[in-house]
Amino acid sequence: MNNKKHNDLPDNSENIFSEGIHICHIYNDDNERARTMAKFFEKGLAEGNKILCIVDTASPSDIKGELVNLGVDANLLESDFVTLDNDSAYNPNGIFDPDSVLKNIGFFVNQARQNGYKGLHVSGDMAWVLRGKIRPRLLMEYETKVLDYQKLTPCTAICEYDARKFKGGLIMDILSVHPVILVRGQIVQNPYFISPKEFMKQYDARQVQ
Amino acid sequence: MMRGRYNKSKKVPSVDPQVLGKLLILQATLHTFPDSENLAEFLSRGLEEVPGTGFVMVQIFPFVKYPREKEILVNEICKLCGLGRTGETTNMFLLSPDRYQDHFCIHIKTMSATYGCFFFAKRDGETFKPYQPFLENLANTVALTLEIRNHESNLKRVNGELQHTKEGLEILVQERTKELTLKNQELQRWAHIFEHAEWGVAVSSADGKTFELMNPAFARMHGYTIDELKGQPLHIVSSPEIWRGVPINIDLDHEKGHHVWESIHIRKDGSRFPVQFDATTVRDELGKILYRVINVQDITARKQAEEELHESEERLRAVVQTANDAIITVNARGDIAAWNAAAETIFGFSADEILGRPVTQIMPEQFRTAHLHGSERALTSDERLVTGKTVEVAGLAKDGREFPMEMSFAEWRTQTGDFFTAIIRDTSERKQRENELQAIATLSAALRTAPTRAEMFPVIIGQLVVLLNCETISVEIIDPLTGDAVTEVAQGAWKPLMGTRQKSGTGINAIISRTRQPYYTNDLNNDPNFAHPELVSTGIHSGVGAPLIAQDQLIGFVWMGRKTDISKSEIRLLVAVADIAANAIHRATLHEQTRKDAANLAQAYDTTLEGWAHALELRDQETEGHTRRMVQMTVDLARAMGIGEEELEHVRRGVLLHDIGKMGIPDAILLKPGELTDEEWITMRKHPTYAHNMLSHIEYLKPALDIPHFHHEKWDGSGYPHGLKSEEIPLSARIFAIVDVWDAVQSDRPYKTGWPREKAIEYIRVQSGKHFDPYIVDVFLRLVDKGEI
Repeated sequence: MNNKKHNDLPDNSENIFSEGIHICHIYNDDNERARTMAKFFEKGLAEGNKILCIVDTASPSDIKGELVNLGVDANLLESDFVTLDNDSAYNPNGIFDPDSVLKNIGFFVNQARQNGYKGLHVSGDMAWVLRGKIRPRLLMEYETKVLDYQKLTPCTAICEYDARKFKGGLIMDILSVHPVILVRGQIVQNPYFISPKEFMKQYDARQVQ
Repeated sequence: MMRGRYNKSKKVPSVDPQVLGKLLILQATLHTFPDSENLAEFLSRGLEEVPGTGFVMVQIFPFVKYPREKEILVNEICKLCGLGRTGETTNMFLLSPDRYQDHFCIHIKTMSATYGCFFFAKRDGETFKPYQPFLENLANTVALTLEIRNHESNLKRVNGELQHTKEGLEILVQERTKELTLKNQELQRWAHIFEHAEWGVAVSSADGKTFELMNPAFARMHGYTIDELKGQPLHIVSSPEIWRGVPINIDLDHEKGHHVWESIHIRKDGSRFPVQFDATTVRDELGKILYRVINVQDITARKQAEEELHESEERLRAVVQTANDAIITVNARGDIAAWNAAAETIFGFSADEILGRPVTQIMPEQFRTAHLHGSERALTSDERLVTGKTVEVAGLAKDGREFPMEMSFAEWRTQTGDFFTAIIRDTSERKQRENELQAIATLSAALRTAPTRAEMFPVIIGQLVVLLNCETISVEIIDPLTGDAVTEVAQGAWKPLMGTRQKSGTGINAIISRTRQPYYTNDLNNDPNFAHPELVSTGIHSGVGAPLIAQDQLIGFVWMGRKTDISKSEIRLLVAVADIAANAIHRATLHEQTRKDAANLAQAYDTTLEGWAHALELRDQETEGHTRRMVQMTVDLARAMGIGEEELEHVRRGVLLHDIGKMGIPDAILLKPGELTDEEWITMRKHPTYAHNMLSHIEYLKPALDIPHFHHEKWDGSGYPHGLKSEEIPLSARIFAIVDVWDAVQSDRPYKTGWPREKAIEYIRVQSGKHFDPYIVDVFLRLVDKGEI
C-alpha cells in the first residue's frame, strides 16, 4: 500500500481546516495516522493556530520527535504546540463528562485567542474510550455536542478512531455525527452525516429496536 | 456480467446522489477494517441506507452478521441464495412475505473465491433496483479487498512460513554447524589419539585384505613407514602359519562384528613378536561392510612377564612339591586347600584324601579346640599368636600316630579370601636324636667319672636299659692274650653268660669282627651263627650286637636282646653307645695299666732309695733302723699337720734322702772322731747343696728335694745353706728339722751320749721360734705327749 499517496492532504483541506470543523479520521495504520496529524498540525501552525494534541499513551517528547521527523518545524512545535493526556482532556474530574471536556477545550481556545493565535487545532486519539468503558451513547452525545460547540468557537478538531479496535456498527454511528471525514487521505463531506438531534433520535430508536 | 444485464438504452430509475455518496464512502472506507466481522457490521449498517431496502445482511466468511429476526447459518443462506447465481432474484426466500417483496443477494466473490454475500430483503424492489449495479460494484470492491487481504494474509503467512523456515533453516544450519564443529573437534581429538596412540591402529579395506590407513605406532611396531604399509596386504605383518587361519577369523569377525585374539606378527626385518589383535568390522545401515578397524598391541613384555610368572609358579610348585617339609595351605573356613608331597609322606594322607577336609583332621584331639579359637581370633582381630613364628606342636598321622612337629606359620590374602600356610617339619627323628644325644652326653659324663671298667659297666648298662627299653644286655671284652671274648657284664635273660668265654672267630662275634658293623636279627633262635642255643627258651628273638672299637682296635662287643623287634634307630643308638663305651673302656683299661705300671715303678724307686738310705746309715755309722724311724716320725708329724697321702709319699722319700748330700763329704770329715774345724764345717755344711745338685735332674725325686735341700735352715734364719727364715722354708723341711734334731740329740755318737727324752723335749721347746717353726713344735710335742712319737 502506498501510504504517501494517502497521507497527502487534499487541496480542499486548506479551506476546510481553516474553519472550525469537526473531522472524523478512521485509520488502521499508525504511520498513516502520524503523517496525517503532521500535515494537520503543519497546516494549523502555518495559519497561526495553537495546536493541542490530546495523546493516548505517547509522551510529549515522543510526539514532538515524531512530528519533527515528519517535517514539522521544531521551533513552532516548541512555541505553538501543546500536548494533553487523555485523562486530563476527557476526564478532568475523574469521569467523562462531555460538557466538562468542551469547557476544558474552550479554555484552551480562549487562551490561544488571548495569546494572539488565530484559533485552536485539536486532535484527539479516542482509543481511551474503549479502555474507559464509556457507554456508546455518552460518546455519541459528546460528539454531537462538539458539533454545536464548534459552531461558536474557532476550533478545528480531528477525532481519531482506530478501525482495528472499534466495532463496525459504532464506527458507522461515529461517522454519522462528523460532517467531514478523512477517507483515503481525502477530506470529504460526509454523506452519512445527519443532524445531531436527528442522529440521537435514530440512535435511541435503534437501541430500543 | 451484471452490468451487461442493465442496458444503457433501458430507462434507468433515478438514483439519489447522496446514497451514491454513501456507497462511495463505504467503498473508500471498507479497507480500514481489518477484521471481517467489523467490516460486515460496518457494511450492514451502511447499506441500510440504500432505498427500498427492508433489511440487509452482509456475510463475510467466516463471520456472519445475522438479522435480528432470525438466525440463519451461512451455509443455509447460501443454499437459499443459490451460490453461483449471483444477481438473480428468487421467490424462495419467504421470510416475511407481508413485509418484504423478495430478496436480492449479491455474492462477494472473485474469479477464484467466494467471500460471502450482501443479502437484501427488499421492501420496495423498484426503488431498490437502480442501486443494484452500485451494490454489485461495492460487493466486487469488498471481494477484491478481501482477496487482496487474503493474498496479503497468505503472503504474510507464506512470508512467516518462509521466515520460520528460514529461521528454522538457520537454526538447523547453526545446529548442524555446531554439531559438525564438535564432530570436527572430536575427529581432531581422535586423530590426535590415533596419531599418538601407543597401540597400533589400522584400517583395512572392506574385504579385509589390504591396509588402507594406519597410525604411526602401527607402522613403527612393524618396522615400516606408513607409506610402505598403505595398500599392502594384511598378511605382510602376519606370519604365514598364522595367516592361514586368519580367513576363518575374519569370517567369525564379520559375524560377530568384533573379535579379539592373540597372534604373532612379523616386522619388516623378519623378527617376530606376539600381539593382541582386536578387530572390529564397521558396516553401513544396510549391513554392508565398510572397513575393518584393527587394534594391535605388542604384548612381548606381557608374554615375557606371563612366562616368567609361569616359570616362577612352576619353580615354586616344584619347590613346594619337592620340599622335605610339609607345606599346607588352609582357607579361612579351616579347610585344607593345598597339600604337597612331603605332607603326604609326613601325615600319610594323599592330596585326594585330604584336600577340602578340615585341618583339624591332622591335629590330635586335645589341640583342636585351641586351634579353632586361635583361628577365630586371627580372622576377627589383629591378634596373631603364631603368625610369622615357628612353634613346636603335635601332629596326627593317618595311622593315628601322634608325632612332634615344628611349624612355621604365614598368613596371606587374595581376592578370594584369607589363607594360612604352614611349613611343617616332622621332628620325631630329631627329637629322637636329641634324646639320643642327651643320653650319650649323659653317658659320656658318667663314664668320665668312672675311671675303671668295673665302675663303667653299670653306667653303660643303665643307659642302655633307659635308652633302648631293654633288660637283656651283655658286654664282652676281648682277652688280648687269647682273643677270646670274655663276658664281663650280663643281665636279664643273658645273665647266665656272665664270665663265659667265646672263642675268637666263632659265632656272630666273628661276623662283627670281620665287618666291624652291627649285626641284627629278629629271629635269633634260628640264626645259625647264634652261639648260645641254650638261651632259646628265654623268648628273646631279636638281638643286635655292635662292635666295641677304640682307636681302630676291636676291644669287644655289646649285645642287646628283646622279645620285640629292634628298630634301626635303636640299632643306631646302640652303635653310638658302643662307640662311647669302647673308648671309655679302652681309656679305663689304659689308665688301669698306667697306674699299675706307675705303682711298679714307684716301688722300684722306693726300693732303690731305701738302699741308698741304708748305705748312708752304714757310712754314717748310724744305728740300724734310724732312717726307718725318721721316716715314720716325719710322716706321722706331717699327717698330723694335715698333709695329704700323696704328698706324704714325697715326704717319705725326702726323709730317706735327707743326708744323701753327705755322699759328697769326704770320709775324713764325715767320719772324723773329734770336733770339726771351721774349714771342715764349711765343707760339712755343703751337703744340702750337694743333695740338691745330685737329685734335681731326677724328675721323679724333684717333689722330695725340699727336705734334703732345706732341712738345715732355721726358723730365725740362722740355718744353712741359704739362711731362709720362717715360712720361706718349705713346710716339709720345717717338719723334718724337728724330727732330725729330736733323733740326733737322743742318739749316741762316738763323741757323746744321747740325751734323755725329757731333755730332748725341753730342747725342742726351747728352740721353738728359733730353730723350729713354733706351730709345728706344738703339734710335735702333742704327739710326744700322746706317745705317738
